[in-house]
Amino acid sequence: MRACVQPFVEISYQETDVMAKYRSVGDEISSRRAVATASSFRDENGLPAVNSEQCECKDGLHPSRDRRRFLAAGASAMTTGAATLLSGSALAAPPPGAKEYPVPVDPTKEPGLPTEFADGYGLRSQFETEARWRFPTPTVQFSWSHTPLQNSRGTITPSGLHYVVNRAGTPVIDPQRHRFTVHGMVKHAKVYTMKDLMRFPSVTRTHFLECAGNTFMSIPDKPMLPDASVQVTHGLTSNSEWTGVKLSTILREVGVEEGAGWVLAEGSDAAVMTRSVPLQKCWDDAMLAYAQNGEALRPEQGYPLRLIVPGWEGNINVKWLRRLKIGDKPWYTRMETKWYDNPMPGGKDYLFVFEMAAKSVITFPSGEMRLPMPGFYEVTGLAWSGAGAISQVNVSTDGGKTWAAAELTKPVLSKSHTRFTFPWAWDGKPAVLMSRCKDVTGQVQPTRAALIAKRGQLSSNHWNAISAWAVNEDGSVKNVHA
Amino acid sequence: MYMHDIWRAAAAATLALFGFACDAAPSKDMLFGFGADASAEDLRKVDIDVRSDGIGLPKGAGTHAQGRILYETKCKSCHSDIAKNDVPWMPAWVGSEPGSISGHYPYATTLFDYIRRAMPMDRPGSLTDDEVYSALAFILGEGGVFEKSAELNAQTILKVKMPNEKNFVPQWPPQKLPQQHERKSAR
Repeated sequence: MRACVQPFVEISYQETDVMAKYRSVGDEISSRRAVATASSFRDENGLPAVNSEQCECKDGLHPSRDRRRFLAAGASAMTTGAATLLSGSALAAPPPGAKEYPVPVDPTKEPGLPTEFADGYGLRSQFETEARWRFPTPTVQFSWSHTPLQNSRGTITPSGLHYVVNRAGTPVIDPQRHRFTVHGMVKHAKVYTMKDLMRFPSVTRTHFLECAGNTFMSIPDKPMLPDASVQVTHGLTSNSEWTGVKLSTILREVGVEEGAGWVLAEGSDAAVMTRSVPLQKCWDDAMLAYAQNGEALRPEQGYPLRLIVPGWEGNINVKWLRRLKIGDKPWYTRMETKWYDNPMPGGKDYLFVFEMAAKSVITFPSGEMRLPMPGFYEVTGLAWSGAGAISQVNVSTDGGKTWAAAELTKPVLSKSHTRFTFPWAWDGKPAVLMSRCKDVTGQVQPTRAALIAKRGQLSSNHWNAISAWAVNEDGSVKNVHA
Repeated sequence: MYMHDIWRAAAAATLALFGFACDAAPSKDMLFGFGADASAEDLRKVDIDVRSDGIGLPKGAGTHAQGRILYETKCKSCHSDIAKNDVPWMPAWVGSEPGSISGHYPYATTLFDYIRRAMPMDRPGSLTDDEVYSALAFILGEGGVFEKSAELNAQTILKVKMPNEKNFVPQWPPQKLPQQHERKSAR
């Protein structure tokens, strides 16, 4: 007998319902919250140790990672004098993507691991534990998982940490058997194999993806999760280098008929997910991507083929792409009428809001962290816009009273995450850190008040307001509205 | 030698011909012709979409009574007993309130399309067209937007007036396009 699947999840856009439904998430975050312990910032040998193992929420590090190091510190104390500080059995399972190896006291006094210790496909260090965090929806197939932005470096998201939103799980697709069909209002309906697609001239472009619902928990007047990390508040955005075929190349091949205006994109997952895409955007810069960050797409990112619609909401970048149908009108699919609609004050509901607006967030320092002492910190974060390149990022450390320009890490690419940095000397007093960005079209990231005046708080989608982190006297960092 | 010269001339002509072909540098804007022409059979397997104007609706029919039985056997385990409404994640699912299926969606065709392609979640795409019409007749009947005694089919589904349709406002095309793109515009 077939096992019963768990209930499907529906998000109501009634603010109070959302809060009630996700209260359990707040509880989980709270329980994960590390309790600060007094730290001398010296290790047991009296050496300076800003990254002391004694402090769980220390400089820039995520509590889950530190907790593991706590374990490691305890284990090392028990095996003092042994040639190996840790054996594989001293710890729980290694972090995902890593393997546990014995750690020599002095790595210069023992031969290292074999050159190809990972069978030809590299592993990360056993000391690195960054991982996505899955939102606890009742089903594991219909769910979403956040990128750990708090420890992100540079601009590229590692493929294995790229955020995921699935409607019906990740399908397992044999690329040899995968077929991609283009038909409808075309002169020549075509079926392509993956090998066919890879024969066309290719393009490689770096673009962010962002779920339209990213940051939805910050929309209510009171932050739903004041203790949340930036992974929880903003982690449904990631940035990759994509390689594939320009969609315009394929459109020329099939010969689009006069009068066409829309394209239905259909995935090959169990939801057979569909979105209507304006034909104009398909000619402009959409692409059929088969590679991400130098290798084939990850299964959860649409292997073997996904649509990339630069700068537009994540859901329209249809994964596991099996079909494009050219037509003259939109289809009004479930995704575009139910999940990615935008209810407005007054009862209207906006459809086909595609472009992700200019947005930025400070990733360090951010929620769940604790600054160990007053002094210098490099404030850093990410900015992006679906309309083009970021032209400017300003940072405020006094809750928006004064702003100063941050430095943008070059190159600054269009419709791509842009890293910004800002030197800051914390005086140990309460501070509120904020960032706001501007793009080349002149679009400026709005304040909360301005955004609420423009679109209200009913829609869970397209929230791009300036966000704030409060740094308290004890160095703890909280998600606040300012 | 006479013959030799003929062959040389022929070879030169051939070379010139191929040389010309090689000189015309391949362009990214040329037509490549890769892939196969899609046959009717190829398209039949994947062409399952239904549009809001009814294009794509299959033959078949179903009623509220048939849908109730189907709901009991194939939907209830996830979507709850509608009398009890006992799945907290699915409030007001089959009712007529705002946010319910009948109270939210602008077009009943969207529901046909979605149920047929993705439901039930543990056996997606397994319902017959009659079953999809039945399930939808039940949902719309409970939502008060379709007669419980009527038969739902490709014609009657287009007469279903969804109360929330008037509130949807398409935002595409934007009133002022940032720039009109030529077909072959590169970024």
